[in-house]
Amino acid sequence: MIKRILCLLLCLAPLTASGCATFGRSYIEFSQMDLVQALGLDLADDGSNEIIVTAISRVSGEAGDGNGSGAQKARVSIGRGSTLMEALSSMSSYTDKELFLGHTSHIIVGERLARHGLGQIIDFFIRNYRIRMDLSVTIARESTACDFIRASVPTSQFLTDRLDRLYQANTQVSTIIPMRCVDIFASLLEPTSTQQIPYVRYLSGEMTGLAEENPILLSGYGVCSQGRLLGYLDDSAAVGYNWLAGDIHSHTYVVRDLEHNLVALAISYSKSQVSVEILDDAPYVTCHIDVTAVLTESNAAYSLYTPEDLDAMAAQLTQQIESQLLEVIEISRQWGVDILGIGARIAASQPRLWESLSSHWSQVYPQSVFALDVETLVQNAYQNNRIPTEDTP
Amino acid sequence: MFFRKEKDPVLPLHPQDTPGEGMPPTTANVKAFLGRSSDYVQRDIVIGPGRIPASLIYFDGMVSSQLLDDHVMRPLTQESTLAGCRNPTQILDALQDGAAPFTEINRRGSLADALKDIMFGGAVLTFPKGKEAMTFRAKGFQTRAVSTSTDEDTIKASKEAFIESIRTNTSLVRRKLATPYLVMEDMTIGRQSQTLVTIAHLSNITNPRLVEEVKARLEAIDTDGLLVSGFIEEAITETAANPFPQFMHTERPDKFCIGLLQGAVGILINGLPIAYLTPMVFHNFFRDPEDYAHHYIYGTFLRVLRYVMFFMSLVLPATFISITNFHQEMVPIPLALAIQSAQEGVPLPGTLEMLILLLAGEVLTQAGLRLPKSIGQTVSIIGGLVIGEAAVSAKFLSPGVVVVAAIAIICSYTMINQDFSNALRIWRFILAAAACVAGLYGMIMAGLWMLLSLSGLECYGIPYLSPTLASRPKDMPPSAVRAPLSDLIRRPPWLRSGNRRKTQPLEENAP
Repeated sequence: MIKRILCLLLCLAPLTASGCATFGRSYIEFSQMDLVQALGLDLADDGSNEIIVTAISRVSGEAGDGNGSGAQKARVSIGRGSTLMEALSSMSSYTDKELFLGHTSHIIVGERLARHGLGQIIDFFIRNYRIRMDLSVTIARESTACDFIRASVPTSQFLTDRLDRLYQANTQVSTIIPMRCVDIFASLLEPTSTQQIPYVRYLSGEMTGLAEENPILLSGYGVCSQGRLLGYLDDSAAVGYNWLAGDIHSHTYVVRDLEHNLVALAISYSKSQVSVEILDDAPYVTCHIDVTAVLTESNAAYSLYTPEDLDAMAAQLTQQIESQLLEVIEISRQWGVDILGIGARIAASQPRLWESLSSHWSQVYPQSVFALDVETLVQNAYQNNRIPTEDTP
Repeated sequence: MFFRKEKDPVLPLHPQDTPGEGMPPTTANVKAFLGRSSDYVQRDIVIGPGRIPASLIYFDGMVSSQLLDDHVMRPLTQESTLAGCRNPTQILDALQDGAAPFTEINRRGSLADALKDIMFGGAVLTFPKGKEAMTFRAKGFQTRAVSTSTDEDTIKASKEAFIESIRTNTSLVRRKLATPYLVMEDMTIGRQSQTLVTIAHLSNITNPRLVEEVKARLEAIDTDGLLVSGFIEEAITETAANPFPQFMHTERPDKFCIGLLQGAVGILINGLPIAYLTPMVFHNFFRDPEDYAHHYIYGTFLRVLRYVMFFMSLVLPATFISITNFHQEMVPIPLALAIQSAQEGVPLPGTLEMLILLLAGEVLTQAGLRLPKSIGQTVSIIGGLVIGEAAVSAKFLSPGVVVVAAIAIICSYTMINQDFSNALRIWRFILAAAACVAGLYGMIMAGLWMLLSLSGLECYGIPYLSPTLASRPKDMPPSAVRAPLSDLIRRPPWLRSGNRRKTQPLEENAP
């Protein structure tokens, strides 16, 4: 009997040492919850420096339809406070349901708050045990997160679905790589690191016609240092950054053949290698990129390319990649921040050296010398090597 | 006067104790005990030229009249060999020497034995002053013919099923196991019912200590009547507090024989169309003999499927309760939205919905069992489909809960043994109730309780979770695998058979 009582006490003991001790209070029905899917965070522009939180959740359709994404009605709630917690608490007082952040998958940060600093909000999300650490962070370029979220409500596609789709499409072509909350947190721990956070913006001009229903575009990175937004890496610079980060798995380039016909090349293999040496007190950075591209489309009248044709295309491809790399290197130099993570590479490979450099890295980094070595190979995967004649239909 | 206390009449003692010991089986003594019954038949005759009075006593409907007329009455009245008999002893001697062409005759010197023979469908020849009687086992009562199994349908196995007659059942077993090592030992249980129970085992396979233990437990049963199987089940169960069965009941002779071949002890009970196999461990309830009728890969698939179904049936409702009411962040967002959408407008809490539905499932099952087959199916359809659909449409229940409860209930029906399925359903309730209180923590604690309870359970000294917790690796065969027949050379180690290899002949163990 004593053994049984001891076993029972042993089983009950964890209750006192875990969150489960609150099980009486943690019971809540799904129907009483407001499942927040995205949070918009802004800094008030009235000088109070208060945080404005905008939450968007999906309002389910008819009960029992079994389709959570059926009716795309969205509920937007707004709260305001001196801290993020206070803003969320104030939001709770205006809704009949309990705000539940366990299903939040996106954080959208207004540009003003991003420039002010993300450290405080990232700290909140990392500490909160119910919030997923892999939620993606996105900056609303030239806008507030609140406006961005509100503008998405009338559209047929729910905001988070649209963002997920955009991220999926961009990741497939290695244009934008998502930045997770936990990655930003880890990066903030290293003072010399920067954070490349994807940004979204509204399409304007003639581009709007491409996506009338939901005219937002995910097209580059916002570069933050110490959690503060410095500027943006646009399309080609973003790809250049991805090359150096080794995140390019597939991408498309357009070149011309010797007859000046347009030819599309798809990256089928790539390997990036960045090595750093300190020569004459200056970092000497070698970027070696090995690329294999496959010819996927040509508007020439024939498809039989000679090795000379392919070499010419490879040269153009090398030029384009180097141009993208140089663009991001140039921005990095201009801003004086280590976007490429050179400091982190030195710290990983030569920790003692890094100890001596880290204190004045901001002065050392601009002196970096970059050597680019891009090797490209173009393969013609076209199966029909027959030269078309006039009789060919 | 109406309220006057009357002394309770003194009733005779138990027949086991009274009628017999020391009393001769005379006509008067037999009549004194049985003569008040309306089906009591006493045919008085005189035998031989000496006109020796005798009586043939039996119960109407229990004996075959034709057998009695042809093989008893005719010799007694017409047989010339009885002409020289001058007293009852000489008549009995002549009958025993073959004057009556009857195989099953017994000479009884005790009234108790004579009465017992009559109870079991015999006729007894008594004399007014004789010290002995002769019984003729001329059973003629009606029994059900051997038919197909109703509770254990098969596809590629024998269709025969046990019936209520124990001798028919023993013959079914003996026909399948034509070995001299098959031993069947009878015993009578029940002070009033005097039910015949047969213990069957293979003397060259089954551990003799196991047989003795089963016999001892059955002999210890002291009850008025063994008319339901519960007495046997409780007697052969080690720990009655745990609902998981330590025996397997079956109505299939082939399954019974396979159990005997493994080294188990079989129990047949007169009047019940089922037989028992004991001891049984946890993994036995996932092994259907019909697995061996299929290709071993498919047989393995079926076994693995049963384990999965067991697990799903056990934890699915509790998990659903936990994650929808305590750990909502564990649910993928599309599923969370679907559940939320389904719960909108439903007045009952999800936990209560689930418990009500599980309970409704039990009610429907019981209703289906108790009612005639045709009506039972109608009740299932009305209960399951019509009321279920109406409850969802009327927003009394949310469809998600209905789906989860239905899956759990259906999964429990895939178990090969009803007792095991019952135990599973009880633990499912316990887990669901624990989940209602403390979410996943409660569910895990209840699951651990179940596991601890199973770990501590022993059946005739055999750990219930054998061979999972076997001390030696070689005694731990993978229970979920139905090995090819060429690899099935050993009997289950936990039954501690003296003859562990199936393919090794053992001449020295002849009975």
